[in-house]
Amino acid sequence: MPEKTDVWQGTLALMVLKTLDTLGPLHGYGIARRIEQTSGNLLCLNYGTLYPALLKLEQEGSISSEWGSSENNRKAKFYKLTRAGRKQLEQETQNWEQTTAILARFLSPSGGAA
Amino acid sequence: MKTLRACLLRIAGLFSTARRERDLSNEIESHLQLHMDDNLRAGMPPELARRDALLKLGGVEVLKEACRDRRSVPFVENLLRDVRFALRQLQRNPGFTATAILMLALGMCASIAIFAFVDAALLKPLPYRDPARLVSAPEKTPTSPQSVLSYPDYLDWKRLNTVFSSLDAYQHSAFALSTASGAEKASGARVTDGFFRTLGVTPVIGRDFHPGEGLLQAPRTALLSYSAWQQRYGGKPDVLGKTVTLNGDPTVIIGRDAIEQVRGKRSPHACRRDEGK
Repeated sequence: MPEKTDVWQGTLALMVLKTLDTLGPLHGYGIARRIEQTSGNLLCLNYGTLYPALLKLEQEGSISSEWGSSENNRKAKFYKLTRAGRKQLEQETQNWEQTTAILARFLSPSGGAA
Repeated sequence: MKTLRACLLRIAGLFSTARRERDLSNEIESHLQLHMDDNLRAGMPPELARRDALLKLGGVEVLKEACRDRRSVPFVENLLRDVRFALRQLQRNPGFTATAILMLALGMCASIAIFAFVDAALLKPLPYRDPARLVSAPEKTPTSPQSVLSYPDYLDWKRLNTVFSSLDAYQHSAFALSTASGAEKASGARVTDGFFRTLGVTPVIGRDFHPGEGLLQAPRTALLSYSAWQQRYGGKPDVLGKTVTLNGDPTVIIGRDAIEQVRGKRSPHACRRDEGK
């Protein structure tokens, strides 16, 4: 169980960073909805796991937070990508693309044996 | 760098917990509110809207706990809580507290006393040059394992010695010191003239005994210990050449030995040479 969450949190951080990069400052609920929608509702995201991940990213300096008002005038904490976060996003995107490319080669019909 | 930053922030998280806790509660409440708004817009009845939001969040307390663990260092936080609890318990039981503190204090005192002795006697090297090569050679007789050596025997030992590079004798004794207000007891030792050279120490001020100064017909001379120098002469350097009367004999102070300065140990009040006695 802990191993699974670890891997999950790693990919979750990447999704959060990408979401903030695309949509700009956003609150926790908005990030959660966006991740769900982007995954085509295939990903069952427990919203509760998002907040510790946000806290970790904030502690590491990848994102910063600020209280503000939502579009329908609700008070909410908005998260924003920092410069360090943007750099991290670039790097992690590259890492992820590399990993998937390698795996894709293994899994392709002609792969593995060649 | 990133990890260091996170670590520092988590340590900072140990403080101002109340504010962070409020912040977290507000954030969760705002999340639920936003989710409920969406649910209501989608046409859910109000009570169901809140229930659905809570379910999707997966337990408010679990979430808070996860954030608290992430926010600071749980181990340290628990430790602090335990310490506070222990202190409260001790406060409630003054009798038990006093007994426990007393027991610990006694135990520590005993250990420190024993260690101090072992440290001085066994661990620290003697404050002399080449202490590993110093030996004490007492005379052994059937009645006494450590008997006092007689002066003629000492002379014989010295003459026949082929083992030691030097051989000198000392004897702790008390002297009657004549002062203006009468006789006072001064503890010291009688030593042979090469005693300090054998130990490998030189006087801090003044000079060592010259060879031959130990003979009976030579004038009496003495070296002061640090404590005698401080107590009787106020640590002044002009003591050299002064005459004191020890056991009725005028004795010239020629220096101050280095032993006590090296080590806080009590050394003889006056080292006096008179081998002949």
